Amino acid sequence: MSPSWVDGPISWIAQRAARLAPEAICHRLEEEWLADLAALDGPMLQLRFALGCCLAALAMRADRVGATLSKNVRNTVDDLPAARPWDGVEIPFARRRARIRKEAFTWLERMRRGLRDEQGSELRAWLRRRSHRVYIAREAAQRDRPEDLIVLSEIFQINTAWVEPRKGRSPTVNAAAALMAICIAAVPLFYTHYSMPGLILGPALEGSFMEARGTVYNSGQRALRRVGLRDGTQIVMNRGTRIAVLDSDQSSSVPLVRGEATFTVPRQAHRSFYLTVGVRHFGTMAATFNVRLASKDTIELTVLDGAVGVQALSSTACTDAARGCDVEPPVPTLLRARQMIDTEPGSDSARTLSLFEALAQIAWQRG
Amino acid sequence: MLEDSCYLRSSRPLYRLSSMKKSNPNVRMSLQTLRVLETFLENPSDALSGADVLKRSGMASGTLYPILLRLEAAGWFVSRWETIDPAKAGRPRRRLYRLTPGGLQLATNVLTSFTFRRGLPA
Repeated sequence: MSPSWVDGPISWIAQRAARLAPEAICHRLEEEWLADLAALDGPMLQLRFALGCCLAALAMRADRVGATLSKNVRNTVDDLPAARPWDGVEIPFARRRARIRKEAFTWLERMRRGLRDEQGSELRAWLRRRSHRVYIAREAAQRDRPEDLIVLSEIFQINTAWVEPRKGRSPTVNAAAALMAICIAAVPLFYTHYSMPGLILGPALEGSFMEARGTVYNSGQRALRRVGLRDGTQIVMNRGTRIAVLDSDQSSSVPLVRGEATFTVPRQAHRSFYLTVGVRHFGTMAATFNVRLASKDTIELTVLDGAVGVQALSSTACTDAARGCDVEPPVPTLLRARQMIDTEPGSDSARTLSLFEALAQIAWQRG
Repeated sequence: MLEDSCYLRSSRPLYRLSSMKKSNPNVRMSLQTLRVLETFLENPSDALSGADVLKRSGMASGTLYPILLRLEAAGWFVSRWETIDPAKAGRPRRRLYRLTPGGLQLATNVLTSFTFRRGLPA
């Protein structure tokens, strides 16, 4: 016997192969091939069998034996796919479809024999549902019984799309395949985004998510830009800089998506200022500081003036601030005037600058 | 259908068996088809499943099933589901193929003719 873990994929191949066959015989072949597959010993033999079934189905489709068989062979309820007690997995709606199909077949057989008086009203009641009408028309067409279709067309209007052989895959299969392809394509993107934040989706996702809730400011590639916020904060943006401003009653939150800017934040009671740069989050009560996003992980923040408090925040706190929730103001202890923090992956280094070095950090404002 | 066996009486050389479909639209005779018929002729009254024929003839499933269905469509074989209770038997029911009386006669004629014309001992 083959190990149980290979049974599933091999059976799946055989099932898929049967569905490649002409529609009139695909259910019969599915059951037949699964039964014959179970009779074979060894996974390699079974795999060879299942792959061969794919070729067989294509050959049958080319032969067009399905229509001939459905004419020559007496179709009975017995030919419908049997319930399979040995496979416990139920496909959603498959049981309902199988039931409707079986009922449709039964009604067709009754119609061929001739309906009794009470069965006429039963049939009309059964045909009230659109799915029943579709299935009985399709069943009659598949079994190549035009006379049944004529009788049915007198009872209800048959849409030609119901009985025409479907070309290509069904819309459901196409939609499922598209969804699966999108999921597969998204996996590496999200993995990269979360393992190396900002590399792929940083500006595209994080920026747009934040920007969607606030006002976006861009500076041109050849010009500086000055922005004044509602809370009195002054921002001077270097060339090629992009920021978004999200205001609430308790705080202002500014994500710096790219570039460099100098912020002058006035002291205000009960109000904080939060800055998001790359993967770092900072909060301050009052400061004049310059921040530069050199690369996705390298941030240079220089405090220029005043009694300044700067603290790295968790991403949760910063998101809460952006949503307008109350966030405990950070304790302003990390950097003071003329101190600079240089963040790189895995290490933050703070140092004190001379006046000349501090002014050099904002030399870009003078061209 | 079964009555259409004129090609068995034709004088075509049997190395052109595969071209016989031109004169007989129902069954395309090939060496693989002959192997299938030969398997069934070992015990003509037996009903065999596809797996049984695979094991006895050593053919690939991709070749066997189209032939079985082609012969069934032409009336050489009939097929039915095995009459077992899958829950009790612990396995699914199989589809069993059996030669029809007409198919048996045609298959015998074809194989006899083939061995005769190839000069092999009958």
